[in-house]
Amino acid sequence: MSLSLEEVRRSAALSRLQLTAAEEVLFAAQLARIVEYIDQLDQFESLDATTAPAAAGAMAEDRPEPFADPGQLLELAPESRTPFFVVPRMLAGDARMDADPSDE
Amino acid sequence: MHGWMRIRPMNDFPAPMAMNVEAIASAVQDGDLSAREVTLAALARIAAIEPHVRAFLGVESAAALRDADDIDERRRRGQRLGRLAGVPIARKDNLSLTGRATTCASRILEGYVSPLTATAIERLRAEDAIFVGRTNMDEFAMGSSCENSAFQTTANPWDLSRVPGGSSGGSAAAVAAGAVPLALGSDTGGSIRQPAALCGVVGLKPSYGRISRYGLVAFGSSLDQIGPISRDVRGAALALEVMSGVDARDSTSSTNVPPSILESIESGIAGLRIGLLREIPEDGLDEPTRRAWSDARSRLERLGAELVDISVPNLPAAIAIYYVIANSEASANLSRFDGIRFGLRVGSGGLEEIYSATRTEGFGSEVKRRIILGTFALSAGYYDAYYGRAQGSRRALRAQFSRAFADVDLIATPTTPGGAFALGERTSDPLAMYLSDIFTTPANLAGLPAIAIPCGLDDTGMPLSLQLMAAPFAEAGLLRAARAFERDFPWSFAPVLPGVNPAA
Repeated sequence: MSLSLEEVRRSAALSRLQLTAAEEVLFAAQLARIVEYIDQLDQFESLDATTAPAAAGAMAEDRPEPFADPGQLLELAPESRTPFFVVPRMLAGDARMDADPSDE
Repeated sequence: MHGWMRIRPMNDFPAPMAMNVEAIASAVQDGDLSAREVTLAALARIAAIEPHVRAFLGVESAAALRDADDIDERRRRGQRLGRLAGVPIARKDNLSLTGRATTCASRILEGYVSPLTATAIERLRAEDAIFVGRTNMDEFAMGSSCENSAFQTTANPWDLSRVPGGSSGGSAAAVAAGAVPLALGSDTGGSIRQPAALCGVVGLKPSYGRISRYGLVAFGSSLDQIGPISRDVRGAALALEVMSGVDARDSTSSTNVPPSILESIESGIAGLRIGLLREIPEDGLDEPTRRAWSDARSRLERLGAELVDISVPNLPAAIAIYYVIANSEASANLSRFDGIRFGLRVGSGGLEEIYSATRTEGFGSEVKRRIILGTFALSAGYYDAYYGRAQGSRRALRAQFSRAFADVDLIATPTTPGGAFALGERTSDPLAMYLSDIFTTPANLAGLPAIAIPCGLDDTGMPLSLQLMAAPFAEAGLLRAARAFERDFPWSFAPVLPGVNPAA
């Protein structure tokens, strides 16, 4: 199957990316060729991949540890107020919420 | 044969940049050279090549000289220096080093200064290596030519009108041009081996899990590995030994005990069984590559290896599998770049607007194309047909490799179907660009270690490369074979850089 303009728009929106009209047309054509190429997978052996693969070696235990200097991380943010990252208002009372029900 | 005019002996590089990794380290350990002298020589060479090659996004002269002086001071006090004493190393710009910029060659990370150091870099520094700068790459490691960098294109030192390969193209070009004897890259589908091949240097992708990825900006998490690009096999082996081993900060780093590689690296390949894949399309190789590949097989045989025909039936599907899985993982990994916690922020409206304005302005075209493809492959209605199907084919590919390695010790292929292509030649055709990764993606999909080593020059004087692959964690045998090949085919060529080399 190939990729329609509509599917490119939908995937771009899910990816939080805006495309110009020209980009949509270009990407649709390029991605259609790539997806068509991917469709050859039908001709190859496939095994059940719903279970985790046998690890090639035992993996290390995942242990979280505190970051030494969290203040340094805040300094990297475009906007912060210790100890928070500043983001636009999202809760009820924000007029944009009513206007944009997709912000669930 | 005009191309041969571009070639000169590697030992023509200005001293001490003509020396390999081990020679520099032992000279600094013994006090024959100071770390400062070596660092100054590397910085001078970088300054000379950069107007032509543009391999570096940032040169860290002051920090490098501070590190060098510290090493020299410790030697004066009688301390024993590390295994990489004074060796200048360049890092790909997706590897973090505290207090220094890391941008992944993307506008979205322009100005970002890393708050942490990658474990691989920490281990190299603990052995007294000196990091001198960060190298150009395709944005977020997505590409095979370095042309997807948001900041600059890098030229192949062998022919400035051609690509250095990618995505670790800056690192490969820096080593090939004699700016550093060793550089770090990352390899998700060939991003160390393909540029090493195109630039005539050695590139090693270790087994999945061999080296901690803490501090590497993630692209495809089931595929990514950090590895060395070096002028010779022993240099790559030494770097691998130093970087290997489990790390509590990366749960995918394996507890498999790192082998001593250098100990047995000179013992040859007599008696080794090397598999040749029936699925390699001879008509997919250009003529010079076909010749070099045939010469390489004869050489391996002459060195005492037994060549065995084997089959990995899913090999021709590797690129299709790879582009679904890598991009699906990328679409998830790159969702963190949203303008909230670090990097660029664009827009001042609602949260959704900031997300999409930031990403739209911050990411380049190839990154957008791949994120959209990955999102498509993971989206409701298409998940089973694309992501699920690719995972199933990948599982079969792994099983087929595992059966093959029950019969052979190594598998040999060309690293790429041809030598370096012209800048601009493939930028408008993403699929054509992807197809050059046919021999490199399988090792990532199956978690295998693989190495690219120079094996010849084409009619225009551009380097060609042999790839060897081994079973997971069998790096010792892999590097032993690569070293045997290198010893028999000593690669002493280096590119002539117009206006830079005395010989030019």
